[in-house]
Amino acid sequence: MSRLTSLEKPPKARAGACAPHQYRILGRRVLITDEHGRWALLTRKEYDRFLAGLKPSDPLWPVLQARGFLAGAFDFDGAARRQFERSLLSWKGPGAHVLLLEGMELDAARRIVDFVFACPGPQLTLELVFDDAAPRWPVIWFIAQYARRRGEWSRRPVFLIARARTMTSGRADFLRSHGVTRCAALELAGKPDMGKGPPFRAQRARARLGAGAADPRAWARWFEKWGFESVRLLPSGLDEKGAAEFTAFYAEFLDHLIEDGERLNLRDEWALGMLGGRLWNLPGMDVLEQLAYDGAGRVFTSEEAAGNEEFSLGAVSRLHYPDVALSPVARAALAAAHPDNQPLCSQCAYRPFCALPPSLNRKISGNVWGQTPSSPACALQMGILDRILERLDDEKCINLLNKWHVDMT
Amino acid sequence: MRVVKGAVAFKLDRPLYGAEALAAGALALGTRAQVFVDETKTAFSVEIRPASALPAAALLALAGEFLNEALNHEYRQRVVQANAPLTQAVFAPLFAKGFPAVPADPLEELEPQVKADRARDLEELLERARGML
Repeated sequence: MSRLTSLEKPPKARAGACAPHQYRILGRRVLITDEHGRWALLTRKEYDRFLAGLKPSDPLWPVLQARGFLAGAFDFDGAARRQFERSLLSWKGPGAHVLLLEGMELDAARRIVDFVFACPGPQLTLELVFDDAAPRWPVIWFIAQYARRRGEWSRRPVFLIARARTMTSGRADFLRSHGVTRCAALELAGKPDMGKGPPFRAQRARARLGAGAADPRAWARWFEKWGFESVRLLPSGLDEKGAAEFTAFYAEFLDHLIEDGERLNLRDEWALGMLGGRLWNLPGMDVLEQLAYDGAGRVFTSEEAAGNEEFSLGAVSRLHYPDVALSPVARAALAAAHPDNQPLCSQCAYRPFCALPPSLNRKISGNVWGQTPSSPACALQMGILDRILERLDDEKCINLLNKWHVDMT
Repeated sequence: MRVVKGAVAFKLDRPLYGAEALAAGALALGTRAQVFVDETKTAFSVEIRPASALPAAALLALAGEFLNEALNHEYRQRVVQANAPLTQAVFAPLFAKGFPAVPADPLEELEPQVKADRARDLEELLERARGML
């Protein structure tokens, strides 16, 4: 079983004509990508011509030459530069730090903020996660103030996000006035009631598809009406059914964003994360993209891994950031995350944009490597990329991605 | 594949599967079953005994899960070996240099008063936060 696609009658390929690439059949077209995230959408006939060797007089020649797909006109310097920029050699450190505030005391909060600021990287994001702001307010208030101060002292941009199920409008206003992005943890059930807003005013949403979530276009309009700027949709469950339902919902949701892209100010966080084309931009990627901290001050490789001792890097009171590199857990997570170490990923056209977090693999398949051919998480991410990349020859889609500052040129 | 006395048994050819692949398969089953392995020069004999009694279909599914992971492991090892020159070039320098922490703030190093002011600032914040408890 494989999720990769293959041509029934592979065309004849001329040795030395094409630069290394992967392909994926998307409807009537063939998507080709190289390992640096460059891409082209071709018709079947164009792909045949490409494999057979394009003549410089062919109208396709300058297009594919500019994108680095012609072996005879390959820009080695450019490829080396892109490879370096996108490989882990350019990774500076985890940029996102998820603080799970349940049971967190002030002293642990202080130590965690100090630990976060020991991490290198041009900017840091601290995401505070809690159900209700009221019982956690002293810790939320302290982290918001202290992290801001640490950001000023270290002269690094700090982004603060408060993700909650509920909070009063007074507290939401306080967070807004202190530059904290509010993120509402929602469950989408049925069709939206346009007259009923979210529990609090938020810019971002982490929206899980609940029972019978329907009418994705109406939900997109609902998010827009209530002032959301970006949404990350989540499946109802991590199984084949959940992945299939999610992909269908996501496809229609994205269609709406693309069709109404000029007017809408709503962004899709999946597209933003994946099309960045860097392993450390992928949401939830253990160690590379994020670290997580629980209320007791333990450090985990990601939010997904939080609470699982197998993924614990140690207590924040004793752990030093450089020790993370020595941790067998972190090393295993890094090795397992790399698509070149995964049988299916290493052959996949989406390799430059996609990988599964090892902690998610552990949850689904029982080990950090996972089984991508049978993994619903793989089905889900490939489904997302299918929906986005099949629209890349649509000017509206490219305009929307440009508006979101995603460079797919 | 045979279902005998509440267990499922089968043989695997040695050149295709190694002992590590079988260990990976057993790991995937976790505490749900015990896996017994015997070996000859040409094959492994595997018997999977579930922790609790299962119908034949569930036993076969368990064996399928074991085989999926064994095959996945075996193939992954080949991919890892084949891509090693590329991945080693990335991982070796990453692990060799470690994850360097941000150096101490030179301002605090040069001006002890800055460090003291910041410590006082922190104490005030903590005090105000404690007042909210």
